[in-house]
Amino acid sequence: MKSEKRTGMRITVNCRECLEQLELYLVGALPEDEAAAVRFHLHTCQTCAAEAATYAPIIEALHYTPPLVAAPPTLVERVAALPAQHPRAAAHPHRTRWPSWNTLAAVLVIGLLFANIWLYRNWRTAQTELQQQRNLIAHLAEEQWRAVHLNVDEPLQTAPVQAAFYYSEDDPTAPGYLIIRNLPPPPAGKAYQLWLIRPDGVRDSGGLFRGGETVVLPVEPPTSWHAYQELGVTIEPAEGSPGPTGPRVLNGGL
Amino acid sequence: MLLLALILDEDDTDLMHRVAHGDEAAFRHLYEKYLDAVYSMALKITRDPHMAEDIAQDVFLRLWQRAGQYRSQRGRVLTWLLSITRNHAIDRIRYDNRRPVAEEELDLTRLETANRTIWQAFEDDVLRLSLDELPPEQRQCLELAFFYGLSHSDIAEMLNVPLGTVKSRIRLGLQKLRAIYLEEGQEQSKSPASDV
Repeated sequence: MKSEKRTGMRITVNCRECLEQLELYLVGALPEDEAAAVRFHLHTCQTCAAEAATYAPIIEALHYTPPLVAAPPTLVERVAALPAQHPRAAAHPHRTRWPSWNTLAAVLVIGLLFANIWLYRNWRTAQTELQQQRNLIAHLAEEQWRAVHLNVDEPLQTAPVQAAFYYSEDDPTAPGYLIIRNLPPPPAGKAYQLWLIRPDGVRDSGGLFRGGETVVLPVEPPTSWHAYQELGVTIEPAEGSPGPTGPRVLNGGL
Repeated sequence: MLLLALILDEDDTDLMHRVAHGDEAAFRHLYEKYLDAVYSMALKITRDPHMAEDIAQDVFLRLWQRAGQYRSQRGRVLTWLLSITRNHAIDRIRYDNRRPVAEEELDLTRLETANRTIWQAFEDDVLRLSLDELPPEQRQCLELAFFYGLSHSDIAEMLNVPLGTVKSRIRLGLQKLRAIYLEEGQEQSKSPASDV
């Protein structure tokens, strides 16, 4: 892509470049940075988005092309046993409210305490953090926030980890917040990396973080939360990775 | 051979709503209907029956626990399940640092030519797409990207062909499928009762 322009961390493309790469993007053949540029352009250009839409039935149909193979009886038995193995609590189809507002407030107060300690060591930087915490409390106290409980995957299942992601349904372009309790530190030279997963399988990085008693990570959606289907957290090199390479430790659907 | 998608699977949407409220009978109905398709997608990507079973189980566990997250306006239930399965399976083969088995994937004469694909098992009027209509080289590049999550440079390296060749094959392949789809749509509009 000869005429890519980098603005900060983002590569931008024009209409011609977008259309040149459109088919590659739609089947997932572009590297993440180039895919992000095409994705961003499609969200801002109705002409190119209309061209992309002409491929929607083709992309859907690709999912239906694998040869049909009968599931083994053992798999049928395993799936049939799932409701008994994972009994449902009170049904609440769309919203998982975790933690309670009181618990959330307590968690955030702890976060504020840590922010104040940091303030003592680096006043100018901590002041910004403090404001973020206050903003977070104010934001999350509003009703439109949706809480998504994250599942803990095998590498962390021995730790008492609780994680939830909050985002606004009223304003899906507003920052969301990943809140994790009791997250053990990553291995030496590693960091946790949040991934925002689109329906087509493309992953956008949501940021790097380390473990701690309480982790509060503000996450800016590259476009809109409605563009994403799932979240995942993996263990990656400390400087981050352009795509997930390490073991997944948390996951959840939006 | 192509049919335009016209019908929303309202029955499935209702089943998903019931599963979201903990209805085990609705869950059973859905897995009896779609487990083969989900397993087939997982097997297509992983080439490992045991891993495919694990993935299919995870997908239906998610369905059981998260059916409320399904939004009918995003598409059919089966497409939603297959999309989750594809993402999950690609994650697994990336995590295991697996690549498609070269002997199978690179031998164009051995590319799958199954007589029965997922769509043939359902009355769902999803677009009936046959990758056999593509030249083998274009089909191969499309499949390596879509089903195995390989980037164009990964594919070029694997096939030992120039990057530009891979890009062209993918572009031309998808454009050809779209052209066939549009052509079929025009034929159907001329004779609406012919294939509905």
